[in-house]
Amino acid sequence: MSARMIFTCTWGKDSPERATLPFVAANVAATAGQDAVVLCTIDGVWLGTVGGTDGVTSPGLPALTDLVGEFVDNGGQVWLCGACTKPRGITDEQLAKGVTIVGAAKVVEEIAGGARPVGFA
Amino acid sequence: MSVVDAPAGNQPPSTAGLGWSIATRFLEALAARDFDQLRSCFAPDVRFRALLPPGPRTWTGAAAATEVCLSWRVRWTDDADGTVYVFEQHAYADAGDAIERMDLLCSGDIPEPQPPAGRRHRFDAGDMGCADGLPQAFRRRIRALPAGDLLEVVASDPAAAEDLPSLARMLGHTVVSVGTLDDGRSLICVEAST
Repeated sequence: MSARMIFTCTWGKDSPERATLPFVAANVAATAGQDAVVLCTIDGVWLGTVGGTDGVTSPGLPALTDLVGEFVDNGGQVWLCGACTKPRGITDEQLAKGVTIVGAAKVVEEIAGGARPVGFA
Repeated sequence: MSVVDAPAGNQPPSTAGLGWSIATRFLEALAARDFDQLRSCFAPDVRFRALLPPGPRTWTGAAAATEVCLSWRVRWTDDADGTVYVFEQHAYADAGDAIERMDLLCSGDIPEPQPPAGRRHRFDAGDMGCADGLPQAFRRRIRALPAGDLLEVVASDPAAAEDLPSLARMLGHTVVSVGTLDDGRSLICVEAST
């Protein structure tokens, strides 16, 4: 049974608080030694690109660029939904460190194996 | 791997009556990478000789022989072009209650033999992705194959290399290899199951 936690992130820089909060929670999980993934969908996929988190800040929360970097350094992974990256023209070459483009089957397999989805925003 | 059972009587006391041979114990320990059980298969003063690509080597003692066995590689994939290489290890042993002498012949890495062309089927998925019908197209094609046939999917969608193996596993098929072609497209090879 998988112990992985999948934190969903559906918002981009147009909504800094919603974009940041899933990474706050996921980073707590990673810091605690949990297997944590942030799955970005819809406009959230931009956050997985180089420069995609630049300037994303929200009162009371850490700057998203620093937060994502720390999350990845703590062992976290960032997945971008392939169905969402394609219409936005996002390719492998544009991805930041620790980011992978995945499809629905990958996520389904994880959930079927016991991974737990976590909705934080 | 194949096992040629040792003559009757070569059974460790703990498995007496179970019909296990020392060769079977050795192979099971090797497959499980069980250091302690593997070591117990060797006589304390076992002589282990090997003819390896760099040349002949000799080791003495159970610990040394065990370390050599656990260092064996049997298969690896060149990520640059997806070529799969295998090693053939032929070992001949003299054994009583334990292996007293073992001689090994290693082939070095050789390209994995390819199945007959008729058993390989290629599907060029273009830029199809999970929202474009790729999972459904893959399932339709793999289900049409007899067990043992290979479906090679070429895909430019960046998620395909992760997605298709997941889908294959969930459908009960075996992922043979995942690689990248020179042009950057993914090549996913799946063996159809029953």
